[in-house]
Amino acid sequence: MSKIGVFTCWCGENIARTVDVDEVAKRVAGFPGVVCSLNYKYMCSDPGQAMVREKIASEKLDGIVVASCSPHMHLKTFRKAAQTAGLNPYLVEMANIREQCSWVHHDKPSATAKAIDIIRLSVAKVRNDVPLRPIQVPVTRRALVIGGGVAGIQAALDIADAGHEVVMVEREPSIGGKMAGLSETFPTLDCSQCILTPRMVEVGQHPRIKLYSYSEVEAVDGFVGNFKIKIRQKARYVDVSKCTGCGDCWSVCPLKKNPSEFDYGMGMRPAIYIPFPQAVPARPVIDKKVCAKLIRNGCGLCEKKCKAGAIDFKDEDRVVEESVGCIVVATGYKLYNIAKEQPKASLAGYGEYGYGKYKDVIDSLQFERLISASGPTGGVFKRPSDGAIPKNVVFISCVGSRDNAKGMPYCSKICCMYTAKHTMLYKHKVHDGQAHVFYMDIRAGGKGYDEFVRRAIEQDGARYYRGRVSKITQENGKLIVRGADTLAGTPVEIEADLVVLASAMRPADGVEELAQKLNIGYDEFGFLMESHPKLRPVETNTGGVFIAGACQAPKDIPEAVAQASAAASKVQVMLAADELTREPEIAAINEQTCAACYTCLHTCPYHAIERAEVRTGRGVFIKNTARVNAGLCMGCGTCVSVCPSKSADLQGFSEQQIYAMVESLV
Amino acid sequence: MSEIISQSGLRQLVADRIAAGTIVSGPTQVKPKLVLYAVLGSPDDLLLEGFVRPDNSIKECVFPKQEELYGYRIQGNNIELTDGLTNDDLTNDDAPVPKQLVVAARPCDAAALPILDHIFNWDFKDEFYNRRRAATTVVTLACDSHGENCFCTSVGLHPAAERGSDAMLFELGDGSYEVRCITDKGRALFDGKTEESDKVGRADAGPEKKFDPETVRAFVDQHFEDPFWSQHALTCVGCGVCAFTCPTCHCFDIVDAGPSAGNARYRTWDSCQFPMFTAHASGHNPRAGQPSRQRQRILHKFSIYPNKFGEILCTGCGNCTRNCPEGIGVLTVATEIDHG
Amino acid sequence: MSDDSTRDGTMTENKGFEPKIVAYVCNWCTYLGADLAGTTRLEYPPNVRIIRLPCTGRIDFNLIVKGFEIGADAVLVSGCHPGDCHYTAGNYHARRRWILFRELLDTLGFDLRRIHFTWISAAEGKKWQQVITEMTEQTRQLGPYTDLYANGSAQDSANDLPSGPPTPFEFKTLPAEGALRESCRKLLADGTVKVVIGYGQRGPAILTRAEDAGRLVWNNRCVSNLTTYLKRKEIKALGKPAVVVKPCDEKSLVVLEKESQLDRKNIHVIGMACEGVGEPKCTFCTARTPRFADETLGEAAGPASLADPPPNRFAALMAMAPAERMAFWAKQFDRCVKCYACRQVCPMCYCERCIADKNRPIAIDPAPSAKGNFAWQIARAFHLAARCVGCGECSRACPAGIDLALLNIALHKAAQVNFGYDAGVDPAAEPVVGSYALQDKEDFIG
Repeated sequence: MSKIGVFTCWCGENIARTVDVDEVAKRVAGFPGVVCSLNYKYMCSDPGQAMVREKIASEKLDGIVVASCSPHMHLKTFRKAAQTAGLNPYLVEMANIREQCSWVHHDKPSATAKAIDIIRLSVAKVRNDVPLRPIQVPVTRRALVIGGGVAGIQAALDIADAGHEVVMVEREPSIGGKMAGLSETFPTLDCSQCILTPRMVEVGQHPRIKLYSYSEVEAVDGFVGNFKIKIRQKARYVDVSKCTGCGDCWSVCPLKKNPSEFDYGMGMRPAIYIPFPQAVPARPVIDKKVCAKLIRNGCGLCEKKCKAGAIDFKDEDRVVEESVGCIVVATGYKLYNIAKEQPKASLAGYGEYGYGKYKDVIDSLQFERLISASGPTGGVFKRPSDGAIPKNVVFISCVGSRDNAKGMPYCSKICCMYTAKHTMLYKHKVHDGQAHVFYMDIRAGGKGYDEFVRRAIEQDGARYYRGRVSKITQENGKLIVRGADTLAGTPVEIEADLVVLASAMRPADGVEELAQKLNIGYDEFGFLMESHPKLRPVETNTGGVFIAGACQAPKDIPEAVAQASAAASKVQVMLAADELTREPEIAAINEQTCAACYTCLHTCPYHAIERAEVRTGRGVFIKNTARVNAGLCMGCGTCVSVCPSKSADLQGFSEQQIYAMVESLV
Repeated sequence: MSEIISQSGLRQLVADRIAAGTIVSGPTQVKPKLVLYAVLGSPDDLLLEGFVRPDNSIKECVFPKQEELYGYRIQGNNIELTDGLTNDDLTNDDAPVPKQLVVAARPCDAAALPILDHIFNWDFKDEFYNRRRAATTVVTLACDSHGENCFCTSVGLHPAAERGSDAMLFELGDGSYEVRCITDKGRALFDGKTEESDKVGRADAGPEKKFDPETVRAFVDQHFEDPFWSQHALTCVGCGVCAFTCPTCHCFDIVDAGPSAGNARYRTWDSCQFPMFTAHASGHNPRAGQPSRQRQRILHKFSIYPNKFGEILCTGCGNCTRNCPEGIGVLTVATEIDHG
Repeated sequence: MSDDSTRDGTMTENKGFEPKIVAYVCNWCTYLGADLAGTTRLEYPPNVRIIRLPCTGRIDFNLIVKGFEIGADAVLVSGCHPGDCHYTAGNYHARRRWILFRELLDTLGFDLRRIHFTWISAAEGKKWQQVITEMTEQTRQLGPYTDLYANGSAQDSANDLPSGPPTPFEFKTLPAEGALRESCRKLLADGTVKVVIGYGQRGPAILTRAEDAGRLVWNNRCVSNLTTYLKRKEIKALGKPAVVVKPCDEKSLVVLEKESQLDRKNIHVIGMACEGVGEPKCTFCTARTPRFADETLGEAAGPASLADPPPNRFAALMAMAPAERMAFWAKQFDRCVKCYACRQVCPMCYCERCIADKNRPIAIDPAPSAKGNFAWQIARAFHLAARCVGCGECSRACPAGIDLALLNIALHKAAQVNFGYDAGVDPAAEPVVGSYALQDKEDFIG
């Protein structure tokens, strides 16, 4: 038999004006199981809470209902109060007779009757409440950071500096990401590598960061606090423990003319190479697609030359396992490939811009390499086709972005700023050059950003045309760019020496497969899904997996760094103790009655249900069953609905409770 | 000398009884190939020919599929019993009991009632059953044919057996019936409604004997653990059709219905073939498989009940076998035991 | 009643009928929306009683039915807008099930104006006020709800749907019988299978000995769907089975495998080409030859076309007005004795503890009353939504002649029309229950 206490609040006048609280307390006292029914002016106040605690103790209550405001206001308050008095906090219910009764009705008799019904519902619920204990999940106090760009680096350093081990996995031979390839960054025009490489070195040397470069995440198992990661270390064919990074091998390599990935094809590299001089780790890798030794057992010069004996043509991929408690995904972005043919049916190309057809139509990252002081042209700004110094450069914004027809209706956020930057860098290098920018809007919302764009126009003479470019053709060695100047109302035709396309930011290749391994969501463009766009921008809906940087949405470096630190702080919260505490209002499955149809497993939005077996103590198989992973379940109860035998049930909102509530309304 | 009644006279009698407030049931054509006993709204609903026997039984009159035992109301921490929140006055000592009349029952249905009398008056006199029984008059229609699933003759009955009938009708072939009143109730019902005649009705001879119940009893008593049961029961799907269409099956469950009809406690029909029939609260089920459940049915009908009350708990109507979705029943099992 | 009060919130002194509305709402959106209506002091009628649940995904049909059972005159189900679900996809799953559930209710003749689905976000306090106000007024106009518990003795309702003249039928043994017996004899003799589930003289025959193969028959009255035996413990315990299936029965195997109830590799399927077994379903048959059997016996040229095909009973049912339909079903269900033959013969009803047998809480009133019978039939039909393959066994097995298959047909059509899904046809197709599409229709959601 229950011993329930009902505490009806006046909330000053808020409830008492429209609801006859004395009548309520009197009538509620007659409900089955209720042994104590009081009303008081302010239940949430100290004296109010003290009253609750006192009654719990003196009447030995095994459940309480506080009839006052919305549970979203004070449920936690009263749960704490109950806990202090020795009552399990999950034996507390709130009857919302303010927001959903006294504040929305004015007729006292009907409002009072409704309030009584609302309390009736809560009493029925609490009678069927079961004491629950928060669930403790052990935590492996290490983190995984996927992606070694600026966001990944920031997150890794923050977590490692806080005292936790970090495993970083980067699929390129070096960390640094896109930022390492930039020339200067807006709005400060800092040399990109100058501000990044110290951080990269820190990562490389940090005692608590274990860096797997030239590696990829192969498989992810487990759940929050207890992830088991399989990492594939791709074969470098160089033994990094012996290699000193002296550079003899790549100097002697005869195959020098391979397009450099780091330079986006604007420069060449040998078959054995280091992506850029400041690479971390500063160890080369052999491109097995072109290496003569690996393909047909020829050459081998690097091996002969290497004094440290670090070349290892017998190297193989290796799969290692790491255990971590949380994961930060910072896989960054790539630029939309502007070519006519697209890999996905949802995308469309810009055949009319001649990208891929004309050598001097390039994208913005290629521009960065050409203008960079340490770029493939040695700091001299030369165009790809003939090395001439372009005097007229056209920059086209919104190539792919904001275009439904191309399948990317979103704004890529950074292009307006870097295009302005490009005009400035160009002008600083080619004093008699003229930059032309075709734009739709100027989006310069950050600190000092709008001033920056103004500078490009007013000080460095960039010409801005508000209009789109319809077509780029080539005549007499010049690129003819046809566009419009809608503010002047005229068409514009420019003879350009070089055209730079600000193409859309897209998530990095392979991010969808990775997201599926991690059980996190992604939108139709492949950007990873945050838990809530306003209030939880770095969490995902999978416990223990966080996101940072451009993989979540287009953003610039300051935002990526901020987000990375935010993700790191979430990680630190999680790793602060040996155990994670989770709310226990989750699902559970009665394994005796479960028919193992696994509809729940397919339905669960969190993949929190797994196949399991019921065996005797001696290991004899009895039956198959579904089982809820308490670490992953978020307590939505969708499994309960789809379960035909109702073996699945939701604690805190169980079948028994809901039925009791509904039936109390008769 | 015999007493006869025309078909229209019979229907008129039915109409009079309905008008007087008696609940009259009889065979009705529910669908083209389905005849069931049902409460008659009008005498024209009564079906008198073109069928062997209805697919259900008349036990609904004395043992309805749902019966309210009592109602209750909870006030605060007190429970108050009420007379129930339906108009079922059978639970009220002083209320009059509505009369019931079954017209054109088959002898195998009528014979079930005296057989059931034992169990409902054994260690406990079941008022619900007894009141209804006392208020019911049964007029049987002797069979003029039999079906392949009939086996009344194997269990000591035949198409004109009088057991349980208050009066019996015999088809005369010309649209009228010979009426033989057997009890006072029957005589009271037909008093003044019949004419004298010299025509005498004759019933069908009935099916030939298909098995010997003694052989069946001996087998079940001596072969409790026998592979026969596993082999035989494999095709049973575990529904309640046999038990629920059987005139003599009487197991019931007691359930508390939710508050929407007012709180009340009911009894409803139950079947020993249901998987949960013998399930314990611990989760253990002593009859966990269909073989043990099938065995128990035969054991009950041919051994246990006869041991207790001296009667086989079966009237050979064949409904179990006829209605079984998979074609098994007492007939198939018993025949298999005797001849298989 | 749970205390001595009458429902005095709803039957006030002399104001006449005050509708009782039960609202199941999700905690994160609609409940907060209702709270917002409170904080902004928006007034609305006091007839609604709110039950808070974490997500619309948690709201199963049985809660909706329960609402009406306890006397609600209308039920509201409300949650987050698609895409905003706090649990990412709960409302998508709920929406899909609502589409199906409405079809079932419509087939029963239920007045769909009494059940409302809405998306109300935490910011839409005004919408909450509007919805409740409109709903209360509309329900007041409709009057008190009694349908589901109407006594089945509605004299003027149809007892049956038109079934046309009896189709001529001549029983005959089919040529493939011999081959079937031989095949089964061999399968048992050389131990390939330990048990054969086939047809016998009176009904199914389950054999374990090769010498019994002669008991097997194959004729044009082999009606049972034998796949239902594959779920039974006693039969599983015997070892690898061979099962004889007609093309309609074979579809059950596809569904059962999808639901992890059997491993196709561990069954030997003997498919029989079939030209009909004299059941109503045969006139709508679309597949005469099994597609996935390990061996196929017999040939089917197709059944003889009927000069007068029997009337489409489902079409006749849906041509009735809803109130007529409800009266029809009430009369049908009046005959139900809760023998559960419909459940036991169905291959898809394999739960060891059926929801009908659950008693903490009692989800389905076990009594064969109007309320209990409606509750059971709704549950049975809905649990089979987009799983039923149309073998028609439920209708055949019912001793009271209730045309249960019509409910399954309704949901089958709904699954086809709304999701392009035909249970048991394509093993690779994603099951309807447990999945959702972003473009699932929601024209009925406010």
